[in-house]
Amino acid sequence: MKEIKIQVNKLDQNNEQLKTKIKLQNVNLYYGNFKAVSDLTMDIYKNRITSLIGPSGCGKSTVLRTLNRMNDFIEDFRIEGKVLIDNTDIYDPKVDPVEIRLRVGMVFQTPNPFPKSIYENIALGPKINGYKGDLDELVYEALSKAYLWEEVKDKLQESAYSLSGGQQQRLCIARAIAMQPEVLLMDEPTASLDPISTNKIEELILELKEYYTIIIVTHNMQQAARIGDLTALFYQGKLIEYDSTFKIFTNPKEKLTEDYITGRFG
Amino acid sequence: MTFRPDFQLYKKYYIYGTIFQFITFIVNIIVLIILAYLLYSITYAGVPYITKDFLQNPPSRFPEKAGLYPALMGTVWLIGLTALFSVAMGVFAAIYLEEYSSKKSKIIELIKINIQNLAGIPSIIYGILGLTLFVRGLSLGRSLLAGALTMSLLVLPTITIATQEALRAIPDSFRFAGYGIGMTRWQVVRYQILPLAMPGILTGIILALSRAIGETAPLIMIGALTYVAIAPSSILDSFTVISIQIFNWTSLPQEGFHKLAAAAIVILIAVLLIMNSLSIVLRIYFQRKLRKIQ
Repeated sequence: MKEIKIQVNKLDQNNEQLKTKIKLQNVNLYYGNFKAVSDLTMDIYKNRITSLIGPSGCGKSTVLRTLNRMNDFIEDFRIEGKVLIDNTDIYDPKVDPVEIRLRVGMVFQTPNPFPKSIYENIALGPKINGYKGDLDELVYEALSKAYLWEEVKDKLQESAYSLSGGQQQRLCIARAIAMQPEVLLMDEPTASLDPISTNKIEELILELKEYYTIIIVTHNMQQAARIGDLTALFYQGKLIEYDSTFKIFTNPKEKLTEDYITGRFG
Repeated sequence: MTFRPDFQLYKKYYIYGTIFQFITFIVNIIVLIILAYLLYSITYAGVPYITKDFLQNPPSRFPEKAGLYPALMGTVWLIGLTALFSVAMGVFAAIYLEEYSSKKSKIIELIKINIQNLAGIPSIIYGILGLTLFVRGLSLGRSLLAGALTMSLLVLPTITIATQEALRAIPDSFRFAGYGIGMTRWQVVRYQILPLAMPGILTGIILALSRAIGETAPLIMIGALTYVAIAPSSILDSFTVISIQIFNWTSLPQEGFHKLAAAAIVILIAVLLIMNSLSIVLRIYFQRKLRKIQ
């Protein structure tokens, strides 16, 4: 397998130290007999935004869902290799997947708020997991971090479905934030939103990297270019190229990457 | 080659459409007329005989003294106990099948198919089962308990299937929303799935129970067709129900009993209509509530 190495000094202009948060080592992912992702080795860095791009069916969403064990719900899913978060293997039989999902939050393609009030959407998770602090404070903090507080502060008891699609998605981000995760996974979070909402979510994601390690799957090349610190291109289940976003979009090493980002396929 | 729509052909299809629409309309009218005639004839024959005495007296050899009280109370007891036994079991079974069991398992698939089959088995077969298992096997005799257990077997598949359908109607995105923030399966079922499925489950339960109210055959099989002069006061008492009382009265030769049967039918239909309306009201109420949040 071709070794893909990130040249750290080119990643950040101010040459900040990169810390590895997640390590994938020789990971193979299967659905039944179908090998969806083969021999994937990559490091994902703390407090950075990593974009996973590639044409439909290339395995990028499968990789994303592997990181919080959401694939466990697909019955014939199988994994080989290791996925380490802070050096613990999250697929170790001793590890509780629920605990992993508490540490690794997820935002889905279509906004999916709970069918409850705006307040309850944020408060429910912490409440049932024994949060002892001030719930009102927690709701305020999560909504403020998601830049939603000003828009919803007067209607916290109203249904989450009274919000617009973009607001609902920010509510879902706030809901994930309220659980105080370490990593946030986003599966095409703006795919069903209009450009203005998309813009707001992108700004929000940029703000959030200060607190979280963010991994985002996107079909939108401009989005990857705008917000990603690093970009990984997948094609037919293989990691083709993984580097700083700047390099991927200005000087890709692979012909395939160049073809993809210039829109020649995909 | 260019395509030219044939307007003559379109006209033909418009005529077909109109005929089809007319047929569907007429079928509805026929059903409505039959129902209206049934309600009218029964009400006409029965309502004059619904008196305070009729509702409070025990059955008797003399039509003018006979009443429905023990059968009415028997029905209330029977349905209450049946609900007690069957609702929790049916709902839990459905939750296991839909939320916990492996979707790929052949055994689970087999169980699901057979629950569907059970729902289609003639009720008298359940009566035979109840007679063997509860009346004789567990020596419960011809008691309310044996009757309610038999009825529970009868409605269990219906409740399970209704609950399964209500659970299946909830999109997976609601489940994943919960799992995505680290909820356990139990928390997802408790806080996400059950509140959303509740209207469907309630409707299914009420419809299943209203089926049980009208059932006669299995109860005759387990021996509820006897003279019962007093309302049951415990689950081991012997009992009779409205539908059996109707069957009993119609099989007697005297004209007076036939009129009492008509009166009893009115009561039974009234109870059924009330229960069915309740299920519709509940469904509308919950749908509205859900629409508000969706």
